[in-house]
Amino acid sequence: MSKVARRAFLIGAGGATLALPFLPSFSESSGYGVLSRIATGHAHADATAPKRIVFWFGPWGATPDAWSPRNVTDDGRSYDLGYVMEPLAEHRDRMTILEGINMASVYRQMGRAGNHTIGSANVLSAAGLREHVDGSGQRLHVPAGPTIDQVIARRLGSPTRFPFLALGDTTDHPDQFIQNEEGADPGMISWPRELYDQCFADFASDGESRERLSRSRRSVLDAVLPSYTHLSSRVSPDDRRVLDAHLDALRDLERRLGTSADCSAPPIPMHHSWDPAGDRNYWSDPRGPYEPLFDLAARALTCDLTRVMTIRFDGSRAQVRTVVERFDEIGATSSGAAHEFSHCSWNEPANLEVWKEVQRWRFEHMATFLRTLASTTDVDGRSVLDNTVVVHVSEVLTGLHDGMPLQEYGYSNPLDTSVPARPKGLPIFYVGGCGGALSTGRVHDLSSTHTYADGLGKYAHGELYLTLAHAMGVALDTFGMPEVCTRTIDEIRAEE
Amino acid sequence: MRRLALVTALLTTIACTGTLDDGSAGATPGPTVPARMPLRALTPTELDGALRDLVDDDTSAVLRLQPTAVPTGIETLPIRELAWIGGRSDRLVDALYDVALRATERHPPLADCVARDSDTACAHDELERLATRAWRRAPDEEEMARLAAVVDAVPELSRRERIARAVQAVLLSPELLYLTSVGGPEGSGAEASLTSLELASRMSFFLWATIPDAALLEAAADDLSSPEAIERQARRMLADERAGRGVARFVAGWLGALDLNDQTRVDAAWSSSMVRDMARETEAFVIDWVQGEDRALDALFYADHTFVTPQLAALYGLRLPDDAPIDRLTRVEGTHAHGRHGVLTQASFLATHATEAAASSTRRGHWFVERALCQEIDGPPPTAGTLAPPFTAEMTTRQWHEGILATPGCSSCHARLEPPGFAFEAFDAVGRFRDDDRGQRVVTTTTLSSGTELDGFYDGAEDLSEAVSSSVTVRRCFARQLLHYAMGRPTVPADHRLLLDVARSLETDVREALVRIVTSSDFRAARAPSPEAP
Repeated sequence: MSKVARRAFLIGAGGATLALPFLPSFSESSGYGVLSRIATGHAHADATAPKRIVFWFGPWGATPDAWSPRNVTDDGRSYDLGYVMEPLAEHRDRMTILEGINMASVYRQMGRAGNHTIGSANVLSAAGLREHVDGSGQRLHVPAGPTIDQVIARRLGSPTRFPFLALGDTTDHPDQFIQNEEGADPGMISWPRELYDQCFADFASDGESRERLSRSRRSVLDAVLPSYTHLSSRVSPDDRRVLDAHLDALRDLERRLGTSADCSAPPIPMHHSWDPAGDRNYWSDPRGPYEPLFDLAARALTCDLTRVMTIRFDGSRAQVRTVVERFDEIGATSSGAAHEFSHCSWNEPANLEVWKEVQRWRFEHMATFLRTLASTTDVDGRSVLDNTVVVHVSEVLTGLHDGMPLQEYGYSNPLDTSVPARPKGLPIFYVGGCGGALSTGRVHDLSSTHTYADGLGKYAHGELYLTLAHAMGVALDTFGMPEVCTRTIDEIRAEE
Repeated sequence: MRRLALVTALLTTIACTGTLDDGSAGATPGPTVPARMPLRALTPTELDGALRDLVDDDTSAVLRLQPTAVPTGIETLPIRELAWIGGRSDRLVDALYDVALRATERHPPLADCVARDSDTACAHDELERLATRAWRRAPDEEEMARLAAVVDAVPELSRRERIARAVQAVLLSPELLYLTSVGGPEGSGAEASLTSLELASRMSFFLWATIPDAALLEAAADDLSSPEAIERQARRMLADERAGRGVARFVAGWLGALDLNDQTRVDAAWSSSMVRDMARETEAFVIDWVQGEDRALDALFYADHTFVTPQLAALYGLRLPDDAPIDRLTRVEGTHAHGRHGVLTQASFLATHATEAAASSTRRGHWFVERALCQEIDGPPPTAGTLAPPFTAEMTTRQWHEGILATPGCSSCHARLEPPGFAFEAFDAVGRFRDDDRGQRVVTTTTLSSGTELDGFYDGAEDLSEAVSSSVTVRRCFARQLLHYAMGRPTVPADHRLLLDVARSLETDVREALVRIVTSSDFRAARAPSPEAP
């Protein structure tokens, strides 16, 4: 497609979207395996709403006896939420808890071992770990394949301004957990102000000046892009990849300038500033930047600025002493950060109690995020949350580094009789039915049968992602490590 | 580094390989070095330096982009920033527009042109001048036409905004943002060496952390292939006020202190301005080292002066005159008397290698083993978290770390980490001097057994710093990392002679070491050496 034609196409698409913010770009049949088509018709009041997906990565696992649902009936429909999950009670009708899903990809590569690094590389990729050496000889551990958020975003095309948004806490380990199909880290947004500038700053001005701004920005890219193409032709293939990645990012920016959306600008988050013009004194707020960050993230979804989002929330930018109200009363002996508490064992009751409170506090933030989606009405009259699926995952089973059940240490150690409760799998649940594609409102214990190894449960976590991709209308055959991703999870598929 | 150090300290157990590196990196099976030296992006510091020289912008606009998404691995030499532009290009685009907009107001030639409303030629001339400087070559007609098209693109905008957009386009060019190593034309016999222009750019960013000046470009246009011509330029540059900026950035990275402003310490003295002052202290100290009289490596570890702001002086217990300006650094002599003698007793180093709430001999020792001795040590095994003894309220940090040291499964590695770390026990998590820890007197005595000439008994950071300042192991280790930084690739056995040469020069004069590096054939090479060949 020529440049002019592509431009015309983009502006055309943008114009249409401007008129109706939730114009569906895809028509979807309910259920699975139907390839999406680009809609050519007009928007109707009864239009199909877009589907959205959020990967909520809560690192360091969960304390088994405080996370797992209790008193579960045979049909899984009646149960008590675990202590740390209680803040999510208001969303339980829209929630499905999946017990007994594990990382078979880690098992294939490492056997029964696991830690943050292996887990982080697998948590969204389900592909295993590879060592990556960059041009200067630096060694990094990265996912062996693209992550599910990136694959879904790519397959959806770019119906929205941002094909995806990734935000939250950057990892406290040296390795990356998001990777696109070119093997690169697409980058993450950490601060509310940064998210505001990216997503909402434009909406603070009127439509006409926004259009002028967009034209002048595009003229800059028109002048710059040829110089990348030119230099790219003169350098080695390795270097070309670096320049081409940069060029792609600039082209994506150009594409974004051609799309439009209607969204009222929220107030500028002044506090917790990632502030390009001022001091970065964000640590002055002991609660961290989470409230405004997740508020803006939810707005980005309700405004249809993106349909694929990844959130990594460990809480490390808040002070444990502040978020755990009873900290002094509990009498913890550990000194510092949330991560440190996550590593405590069941024989350190005070420290463990602090860690449970931190987990509960993390789910309080999640509940607030979900509330915004639940209280916004989508174009089809349902709530945005009903047309979204927010899935919670972690890179390990527990903070003691259990990578999978029957591991020889931590909560999973079969030889340690003092263990109070054993984890069946990763702390996985989802909220929202993804536009009616997924069933909600119950617990599924999938731990009693085994497919890939003893104790690993019926499904691998890559199969969950395959299922979610299908729910989004992205008909993948497999995902991640193919030998441990052979089918979808039929148990969570909505009744036709 | 921070991230790895965090893991290390949290898990408190290290499975070690026990490998003792002899200083010839690359001997271990490692990455295949590409045939051509890799292209690299300017680091944020270098780009900020270029913007200061190009359009008088001193706002550190790029550094403020805070590339937190950059994965930081085992080596946080500044070279790691190679990848920083990756996921952040749209933010860089916006940041460079802000710079351009400021330039149309503050950078006189551009501001004057904006004011001369009827003068259409001046915009063309100014953009041409700017592009020539930024790209280190004159733009061709087509490129000028493209810039003119930016100025004309949206007539409804103000003249200032339209010119600023064109300036933004100049700044976004890959010829400013990247350094290439294409070398001479294939078959010319010069393909293995950087072109004179490429070499001039490398020299300038290495020595000055900014773009070449007119004199250097002139020399490059003439011929910059002989070692004599290069040396003449290097010596001229090292006598300039910009000398040492690149080395300062290197030292900050070597100390692990580049990520300091990402960190939190539970301490009333901790604030963004304090953190900035800590970083400024080290930067000023290193620049002064390169520009001053005493330029031997030992001065870095055993100096009797430093540069502090009033609040940093208060943290150190140093006295400044009452009228010392609050946001300026003041040079203070006689710091030995206050326990401060060079970079290893500066807060930027001490606070970086601590946990949120406590000093950490594991982190400080880990830095020492990897960065001062160039010895390798593996990360902790996954079981580490279950082994560590609890850190109780009555314990001093030293007692807790002694406990780790005595724990089966921890001791093999911590026996290498803790001893150098213990020497810094008299400094708390923000680098403040302390006599006691939780009511007990601090103990700073320690015995090193690292398999180097440093082995022996020490009492405190001053004692250890003095030994470090004359250590040949540390000198070679420092030289190796400086070379890595200068060349943008890890050293290989073929670099060994140069490495020894640089280490010897460091014994007396860092400037001589820098001259050795830039006049070496390795620095000029457009092709990376084979990792195995001796």
